[in-house]
Amino acid sequence: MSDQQHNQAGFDAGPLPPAGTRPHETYVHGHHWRDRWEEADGAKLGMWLFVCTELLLFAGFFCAYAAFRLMYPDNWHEASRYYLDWKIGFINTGVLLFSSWTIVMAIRSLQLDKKFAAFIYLGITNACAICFLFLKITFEYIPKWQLGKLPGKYFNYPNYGPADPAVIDSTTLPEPAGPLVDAGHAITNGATDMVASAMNSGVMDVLPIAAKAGEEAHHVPMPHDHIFMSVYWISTATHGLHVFIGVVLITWLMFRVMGEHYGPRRYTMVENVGLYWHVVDLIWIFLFPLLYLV
Amino acid sequence: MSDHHAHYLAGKGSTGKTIMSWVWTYDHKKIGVMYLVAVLMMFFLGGLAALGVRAELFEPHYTEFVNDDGQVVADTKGYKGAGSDFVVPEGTTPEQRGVMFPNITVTTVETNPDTGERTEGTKTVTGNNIYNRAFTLHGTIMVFLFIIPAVPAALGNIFLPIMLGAKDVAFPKLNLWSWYIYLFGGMFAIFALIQGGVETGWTFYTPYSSTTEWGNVTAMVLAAFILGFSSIFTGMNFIVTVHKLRVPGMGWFDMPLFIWALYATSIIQVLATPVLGITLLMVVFERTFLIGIFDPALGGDAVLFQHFFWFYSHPAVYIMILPGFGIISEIIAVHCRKRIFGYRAIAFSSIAIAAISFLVWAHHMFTSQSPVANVVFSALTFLVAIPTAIKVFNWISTMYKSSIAWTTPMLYACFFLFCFTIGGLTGPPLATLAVDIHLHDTYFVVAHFHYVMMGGTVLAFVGGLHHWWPKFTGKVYNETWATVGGWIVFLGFNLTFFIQFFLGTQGMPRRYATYPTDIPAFEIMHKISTVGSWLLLLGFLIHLFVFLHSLLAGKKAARNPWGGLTLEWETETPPLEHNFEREPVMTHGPYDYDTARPVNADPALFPMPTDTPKAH
Amino acid sequence: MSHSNDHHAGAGEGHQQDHHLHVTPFAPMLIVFIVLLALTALTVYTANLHHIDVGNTRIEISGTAHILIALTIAVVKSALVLGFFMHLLYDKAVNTIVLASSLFAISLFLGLTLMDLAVRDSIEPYEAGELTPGGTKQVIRQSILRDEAGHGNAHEGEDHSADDNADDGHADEDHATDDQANDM
Repeated sequence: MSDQQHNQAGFDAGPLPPAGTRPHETYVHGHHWRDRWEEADGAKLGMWLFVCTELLLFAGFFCAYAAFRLMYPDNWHEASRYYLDWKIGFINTGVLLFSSWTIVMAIRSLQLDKKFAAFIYLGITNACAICFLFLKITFEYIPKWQLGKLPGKYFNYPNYGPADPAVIDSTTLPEPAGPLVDAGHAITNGATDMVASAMNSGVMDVLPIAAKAGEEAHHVPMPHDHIFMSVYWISTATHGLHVFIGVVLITWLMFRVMGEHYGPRRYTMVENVGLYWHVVDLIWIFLFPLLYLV
Repeated sequence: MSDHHAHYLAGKGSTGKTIMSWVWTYDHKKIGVMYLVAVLMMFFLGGLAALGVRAELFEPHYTEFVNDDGQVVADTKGYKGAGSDFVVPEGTTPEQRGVMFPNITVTTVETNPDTGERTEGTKTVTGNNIYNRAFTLHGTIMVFLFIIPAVPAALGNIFLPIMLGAKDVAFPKLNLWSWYIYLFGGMFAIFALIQGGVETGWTFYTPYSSTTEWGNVTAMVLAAFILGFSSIFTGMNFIVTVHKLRVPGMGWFDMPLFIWALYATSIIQVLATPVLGITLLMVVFERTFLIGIFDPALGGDAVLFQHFFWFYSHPAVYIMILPGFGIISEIIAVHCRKRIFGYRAIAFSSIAIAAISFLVWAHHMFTSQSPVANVVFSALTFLVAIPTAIKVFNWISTMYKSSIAWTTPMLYACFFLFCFTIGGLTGPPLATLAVDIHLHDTYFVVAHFHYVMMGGTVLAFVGGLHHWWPKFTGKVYNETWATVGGWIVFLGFNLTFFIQFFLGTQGMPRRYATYPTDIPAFEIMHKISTVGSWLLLLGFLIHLFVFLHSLLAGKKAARNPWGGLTLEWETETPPLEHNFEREPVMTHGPYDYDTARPVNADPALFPMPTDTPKAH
Repeated sequence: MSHSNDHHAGAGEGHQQDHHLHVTPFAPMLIVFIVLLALTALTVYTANLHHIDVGNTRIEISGTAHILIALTIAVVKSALVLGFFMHLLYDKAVNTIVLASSLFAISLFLGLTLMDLAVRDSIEPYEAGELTPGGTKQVIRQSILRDEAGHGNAHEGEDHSADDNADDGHADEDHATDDQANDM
C-alpha cells in the first residue's frame, strides 16, 4: 500500500486552500479517527467493501442467468431477442453512462470548490436516473405487464403457435380473450411502436436500428420463456430499485451541497455515493448485453 | 468531561438518561453488550427447541405415512409394545400414539396463484409437524440469531477496538444500525415463530420452501435476509477498523490472534453473505411472484438453489468457527503464560481458511449434484483440513511445557481442543465421496457439525465469555461453580452427541420425528442422547446462575486478573467510555510472555521466567 | 481538527500527511465517457451482426462468439468505469485488492456452479424435467390449450377435460409433500 498512490498522472492541483468558516471547512472528524483524511480513507474503504457486497448480490442473478443459459441456450437466445427491445436498453445504457460521468464531474466541481456546478452536475445525474426509470417503466415494464410477459407462472404464453401477425389474423386459431389477444401484434413490435410513437420518431431515427432478423418474427414460444422473463424481471427490478435508492441519495446530496457541507476538504460522501452509482452502472453494463443482445 | 473518564457501564444520572445512553449509543462496548444479551437469550430459546426435539426422540412412536387418497402406505412399525404386525388400537387418536407434541389448529391464508385471491382457513398441524418446526426453529435461531453474531458481534464488538488500541470501531453509527437491524430481523423470526413456525429446516431447500403453503416461510426467509445485512455491516466495520485504526506502532503481525480471526471472519461475512441475501430474496420472489427459477415444476432448477444457498452457508460455517479459533488462541496464550507457538502460521491459517471456505460448498450436495462436480468438491474439501490442523497443532505446542493455570477459560479451551478435534476428524470421512453417500443426512452428520459448532464455537464462546467477563463487567465470577458447570456441559455435550456418531453409521436419518423400535439400539442411543441434553441444560443453567450471581454480588475485578499482555488488560476494569485514558503505546507484542511483564498485574502472581529459578 | 504530523500510523499504510488537493481531471474522464458510449454502440452493432464477409468468404458468427464478444466489451467497459470513474487508478491499492477479492469470490461462485451444471449428465444421464409440467415443450402446449379453455371459448370438449386433468395432476403434486408431512 504505497503512500504515493495519490500522485499519479499529474492530478495534483497543489496545496489545499486555507480553511474558512463554511460547514465543510469547520467539519470535525469522528473522535476515534486521527484526522479527517484518515476518516475519509476509511469511509472509502468501507464503501468499497459495500461495493463488493453489491457485486456479489448481483452475481446471484448472473449465476442464475448463466445456469439457465447453459441449460436452455436456444430458448435463451430466442427469448432475449424476441421479448426485449435492445433500443430501450441501448438508450438506458447511454443515460446511465452519462450520469456516471456527471457524478464524476460533480466530485471534480467540489474539489475545485464550485458549489453551483456540483449542484448542477448532481441534478443532471438525478435527471438521468429518473429518465432511466421512466424509460424502463414506460416502455418495458408496463407493456410487458399488459402483454402478460410476467415472470414465472404469471407468464402468459400466447394463445397461438407462431407469433406471426399473419397467422393470428387468420381464423385457424381461436380468438384469444382480453388484452392478450392483440398482444399478437404488440408482442413483436409493441415496445418498439410505443417508443417510436412516443418519441415522434425523433430520437429513434438517429439510432442505428438494425432490422429485426427474419427468424425473430416467427418466434415460437419456447418452454422456458417464462424463466427468461423471471430472470429479466428480478434482475432489472432489483437494479431499478438500486437506481431508485440512488435517486434518493443524490437528492440528499444536492441538499447537502447547497448547504455547503461538501467542498475541497470534505467530499467523501459524494465520492461514496458516486461509487455506489458507478456500481449501478457497472451492473447495467453487464445486464444490457446479456439480457438484450445475445 | 466526566464522559471520558467514567467507565462505560456507569449510569448517566437518571434512569431515563441511562436508558437513552444505551438505546442511542455509538459505543462499541455497549452495542456489544446488548448483542451479548440478545445472543444469549437466543441461545436459550434455540436450546429449548433442541430440548424439545431431543425429548420427542426419547422414545419412538407410531406414525402412518398416508398417501393422497388417505391410504396408509407405510408406517414406523413397532408402536410401543406391538410387533411389526402392528394394528392401531381402535379408537386411538394420533395424540394417544406416543406423540409428544400435541396437534394444534392454526389459521392459514391460501393464495390462489391464478387469481391472486386469498382465502382464510384452518389447518391442523400434527405433532410430527411440530417436531419439524421445533428443529427448524432450533436451526434457524442457532445459526442466524445466535452463532453467527455470537462471537463477532458480541465479544468482537466489545474487544476488537480495545485490543487494537482504538477508541471505537471505524463506523460507530453503522455499528448501531447493525444492532437494530439484528433486532428487526430477530423480530421477523419471532413473528414467523408465533405464526406457527417453519418446517423447512434452516436450509430452506426449494421447491418445498417455495411451494409450501405455510406463509411463515416468507417471514422466516426475510428474517434471515435482514440478519444478513447486520452481519455484513459488522464485517465491513471490522475490516476497516483493522486496516485503519490500529494504534501507532501496531503492525499487522503485532495484532492479537483474535483480531486475525475476526478479520478473516469479516472477509467471509462481506463476500459470502450477499449471495445468501439474493438467494433468500429469490425464494421470496418464488413464493410471491412464482418466478420458478428454483422450482422444477416450472422448469427451474432446485439444485441451483442448493448451490446458491451453500455458497453462503458453507463459508458461514467458518464465520461461526473462525472467531472461536481466535478466542482459543487468546485463552491458551494467556492462561499458559507462554508465547504462542507459530503466531504467523495461526494468523495465515485463518486467512487460508477464509479463502478455502469459498471452494468447498458443494460437499453438502454429494447426493444431488453431478458426479464430476462431486469428485472436484470432494478433493477441494480435504484442503480445509490443512489450515485447521495447523491451528490445533500450534495450540497444543503452545501448551507443551507451559505453566497452565486451570481456570475456567483454560478448561474450556481444553474442552474445545478435545471436541473440536473429534468434530474436525469426522469431517474427512464425510468429505470422502463413497462414505458420504452412506452417511449423508444421518445422525453422523448431526454429530459432526455439533462437535464443530457446539464443541467448537459454543465452547470457545463460553470460554471467551469467562475469559473476558471480569474485564467487561468489572465483576469476578465464582470460579468453583463455573468449573463445575463447565464439566457438566462437557459431559452432557459428549453424552448427547458422541452417541449420535453410532446412530448415524447405523442408519438413523436426520430430521425424523420417530424411529422404528425394530432396532432396539436406536432407542437406547436416543435415550442416552436425550439424557445428555438434560445435562447440557443443567450445565448452562449453572453458568447462567454464576454469571447472574457475579453481576449482582460479585467482587470488583482486578484490571488484569489473568496477567494478559494484550491491550484490553491495560485499560480500566470495566473499560472507560473511550477505552483508554490516553492512547496506549506498544511496548511489546501480544504474546511476549518471556520478555514482557503484564501491566496492572501482581508481579508475584505472574512472575517472569527470569524472576525465579526453575523448580526442577 | 485538520491533519497534523505528530500522528503516524505505524502499520505500513500511513496516510500521506502532506495534503494536497487531488482534483479529478476533466479530459480523461470525458474521453472515457465517449469511449464507453462507443463501446456500447459497438456491442449493439456486433450483436446484430450475423456474419462477416471477408472477400468471398462469409464467416458466420455463432451464438457463443456473440456472447464472448459482448462479454469482452462489457469487461473492457467495466474496467474503464472501475479504473477512471471509480478512481481505482488513483486510489490506494487496498481498494483494488478489495475489489479483486470480490471478483475472486464471484468467479468461484459462477465457475464452480456452472461447472456442476455443465457436467451434470456427463456420467449418468440427468433427467431433468421428467416430472415437470412446464418443463418440456409438450407441457407448454398443454398449458396453451388450457389457456384457451380457461378463456371460456371451449372449442373442443376433449381438450377441456384433458386440461383439467393435467391441472389437477399438477396441483396434487404440488401439495403432495405437505399432505404427507401433515399426515405423518
